[in-house]
Amino acid sequence: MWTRTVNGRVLHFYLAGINNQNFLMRDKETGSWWQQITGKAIYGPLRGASLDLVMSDELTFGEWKSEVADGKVLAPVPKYVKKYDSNWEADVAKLPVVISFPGTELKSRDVVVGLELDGTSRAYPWDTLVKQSPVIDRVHGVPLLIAVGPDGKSFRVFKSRIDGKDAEFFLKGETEVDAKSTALIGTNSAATADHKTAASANPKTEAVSAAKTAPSWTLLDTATASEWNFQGCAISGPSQGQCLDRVPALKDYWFDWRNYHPDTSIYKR
Amino acid sequence: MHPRRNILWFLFVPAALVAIAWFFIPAFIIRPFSHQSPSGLALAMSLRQSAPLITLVAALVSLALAVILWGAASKSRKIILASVMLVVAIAAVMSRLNYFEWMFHPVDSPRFEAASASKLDKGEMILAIRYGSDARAYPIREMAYHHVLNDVVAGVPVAVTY
Repeated sequence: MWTRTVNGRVLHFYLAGINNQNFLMRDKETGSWWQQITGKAIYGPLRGASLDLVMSDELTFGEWKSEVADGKVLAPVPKYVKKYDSNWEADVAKLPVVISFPGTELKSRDVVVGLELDGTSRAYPWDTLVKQSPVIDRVHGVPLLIAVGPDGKSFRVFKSRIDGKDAEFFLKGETEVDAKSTALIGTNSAATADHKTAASANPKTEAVSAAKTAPSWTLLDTATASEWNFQGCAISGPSQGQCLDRVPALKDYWFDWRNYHPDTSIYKR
Repeated sequence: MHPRRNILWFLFVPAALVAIAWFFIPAFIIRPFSHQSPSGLALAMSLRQSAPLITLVAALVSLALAVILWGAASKSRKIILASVMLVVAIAAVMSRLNYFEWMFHPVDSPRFEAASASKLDKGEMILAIRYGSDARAYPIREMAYHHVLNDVVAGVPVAVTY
C-alpha cells in the first residue's frame, strides 16, 4: 500500500497490465507506469519516482475488529460481488507461474513474509513462522520480532527493542498449559484456535482489556518481563503503555519476492 | 497495375502495419500468464504510451489511402482493403481503451460500512491501515478482484493495492 502524492501532486492509479504476475498500474495524471510491489515508476514522465510505503497489516477481520474501536470496512460493490472469489487464496495458489528460481530451497508458490531493512532483505517461510512464532531474528543489525497472531493467520513484525535495549520474546504460558494442548493437537496454531474461539465469544471486548482479564495470547519479554499484546504494546509490567516500533513486511509468493529481492536470504532455524 | 497506385499500396501497407503493431505488440507482450522480459516490457510500455496518437494518425493515413485505392481495386483487393481497415480500426479503438479494467473493474467511489455492520466472516483476511483514529479494512477477496483502490484516509491519499 502506498501514498499517492508525488512532488505535491495527488495521483490516481488504475490497473494497466501485468509484469510476471505482479501488476502494473498507471496514473491518470501523467500516464506513467508503476510496479505494484515496488511502488516505483518504471516508465513515463515520472520514471524513477517512488511512492511512500503506507504501514499496513494483513489480518483476519476478527483480529482487526477486536483491535479497533470504530473501524470502517470497504463494502462490496454490488455489481461485482459475484466476481469476488471467496476461495481466492487457494485459487491464486493454483495459477501458473512464469518465472522460477531453481536451486533455491523454496517452491515458487510458497508463501513468505518478506522484509527489507536498508537494502538487506529476508524471507520467512509462512509455514515456519506459524510453527515457531514468535520468531526472534536480526536483519542488518536490527533485532526483530515476527509474530503470527492468536488466530494463526494474522502477522506483524516489530523491532524487538525496549528502551533502546534488545529484547527477546516468548509466548506466555507456552511451556505450561499450551505445551499440553500442543502435544495433543500437534501444532501451535491448532492449539491457539481454542483461545480464538473463546476470545471471539465476546467480540466487543477490546484487545487491551481482554488481555488483562483473560490473556489468551500474550508475549513476555526477557528484558523487563512485561506482557505484550499482538499490537506490540505492553499491557502490564514495567513497560506497560509502551509499544514496539513496527517494521513493514509483505506476505508474498516466493517467486515474486525473490524476483524483486535477488539478494534475499531465507530464514532458517 | 498503374505505377501511382502501386506507390499508394506501398504506403498503405506500412501505415496499416504501424497501427496494428502499436496495439497488438504491447497487448501480446503484456498478457497474463506469460513471461515478460525486461526489454519486452520496456518495448510494450513505450508502444502503449504512444499508441493513442500513433494509431490514430496511422489509421487516418491508411483510411485516406484505402479510399483512394478503393475505386480502381479488384474485388479481391477490396476484400483485402476492407479487412485490413477493420483490423486497423480495432487497433486504433483498443489503444484508447483499458481492457484490463474490463477483466477487473475498478471501484470508482468506494463505500464503507461500520465494522459492526459488516457481514464478513471473522476468519476472512483483510488489509488494514490506520491513521490516528481512522482505521480501515479492505477485504482481500475484494482487493484480489479490483487490485487497485484510490482512497483517502484521514486526509492522506493512498493507493490500496493487492
